[in-house]
Amino acid sequence: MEVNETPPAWYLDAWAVRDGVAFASVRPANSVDARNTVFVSVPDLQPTPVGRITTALGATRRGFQAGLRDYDGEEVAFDSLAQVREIVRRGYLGGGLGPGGAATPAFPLPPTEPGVGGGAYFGDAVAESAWADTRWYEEGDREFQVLRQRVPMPELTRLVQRFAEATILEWELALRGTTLAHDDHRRAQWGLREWYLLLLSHKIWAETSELEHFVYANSCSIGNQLLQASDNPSFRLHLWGHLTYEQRRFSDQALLQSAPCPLLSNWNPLMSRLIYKLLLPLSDAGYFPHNPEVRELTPTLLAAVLSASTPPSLHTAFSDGVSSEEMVDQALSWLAVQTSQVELPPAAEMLIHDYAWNQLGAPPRSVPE
Amino acid sequence: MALRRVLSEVTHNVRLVTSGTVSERLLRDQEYIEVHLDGTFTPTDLEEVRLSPDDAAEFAIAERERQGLHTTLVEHIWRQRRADVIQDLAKAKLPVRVVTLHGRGYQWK
Repeated sequence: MEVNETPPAWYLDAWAVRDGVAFASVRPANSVDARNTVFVSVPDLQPTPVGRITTALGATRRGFQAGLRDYDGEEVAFDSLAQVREIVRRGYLGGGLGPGGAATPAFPLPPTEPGVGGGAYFGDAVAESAWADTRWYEEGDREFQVLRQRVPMPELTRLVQRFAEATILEWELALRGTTLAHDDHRRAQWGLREWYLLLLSHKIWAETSELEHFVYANSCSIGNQLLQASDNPSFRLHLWGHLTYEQRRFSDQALLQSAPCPLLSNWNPLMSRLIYKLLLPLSDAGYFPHNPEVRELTPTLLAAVLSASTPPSLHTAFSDGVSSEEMVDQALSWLAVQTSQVELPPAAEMLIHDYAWNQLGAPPRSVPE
Repeated sequence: MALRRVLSEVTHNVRLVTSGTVSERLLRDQEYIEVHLDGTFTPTDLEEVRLSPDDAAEFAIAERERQGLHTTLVEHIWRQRRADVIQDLAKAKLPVRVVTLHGRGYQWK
């Protein structure tokens, strides 16, 4: 019988998607006749040569999935090791999505409802802005050049500020409700205090008077507590400087993973946490092309402002640090680096898209039998 | 199996063999040693958790972040997940130690 052997390409042998580790080999499809086997692992995804493919096959008995197959049952071939690293990276990010995802919140907050609370507040900001409906996405524009040309930076910064305020409102509202258990309520309260400070230290408000205005106008009780405490000079030094990590309960990343995502009335209720608005565009390359308006980008941009490394600076308290607009500009540059630079084979692109959405709770794709 | 792996690399002229040396030899290489257990194990079955020096990547990421240099989202999530695990291990009162170089003065951190 004639056996049709496919030409050698890179194939995944074993993959622990949520752990961000995988074995891959150069070999024909459906074969163990490997010419080269490597192991890649987050965070750096540097390939390490592995002597034999048997190690990779052994991993499938310890929780790794065996290979990667499309909906027709064919093994997905990759042209290069760069593509293998890319799918492992994007699978790891996608694994953080959803209520059962690996990017677990430090404390649970009730799911956000589209069009109410913080969502309604951001809805007003969108209605007032002449730029929220601007289409910024153009294929091949990886550096956000089109966005920078079409939308003035102060306008973009203003939208990010309004969205940040919407997250605070959502959080304040959750604390007013009775759905949280005692311990979770206390942790969520600590979390919100630190969220205010995190936003402050990232220059979400150019002037502290803007924060005061927002807090008083919206009767934010935790915000009020913070502002009242700041009448004490020693506390003020901590507050307007930056509280050191030792004095905090939660890291920046833990806060980002816990923060709620206010939703416009037509937004998908599955996107109830802010981190999803960062993880989804970075794992599913189809997200931005399908959501090309500035209003959809705003939550991603807020998450990017908080993720782009900014050393806490004493000088910020003297209005001598980085400006709010510079923060958003830096966040765009950071986001450009995180956004996929390597194109995956179409079958892999489809699988990673489906995986990310299934993580969020979307129904699985119906595949004809 | 563990003895074969460790002894093959400990030559007779090595005068000092510490528990750090043994840990390092066991952790090195991607080949696994399989231990078949009937059922799973719990934190109470563990004496301590040892991390290999490769895991010190965590500190390098933290330092870059502190200086305002570029760090990726993958690195942030990776660090956070490790921090969560170490916190859980501390709650279970399990010591976590980083194995560094073997030999005098560098045995354990």
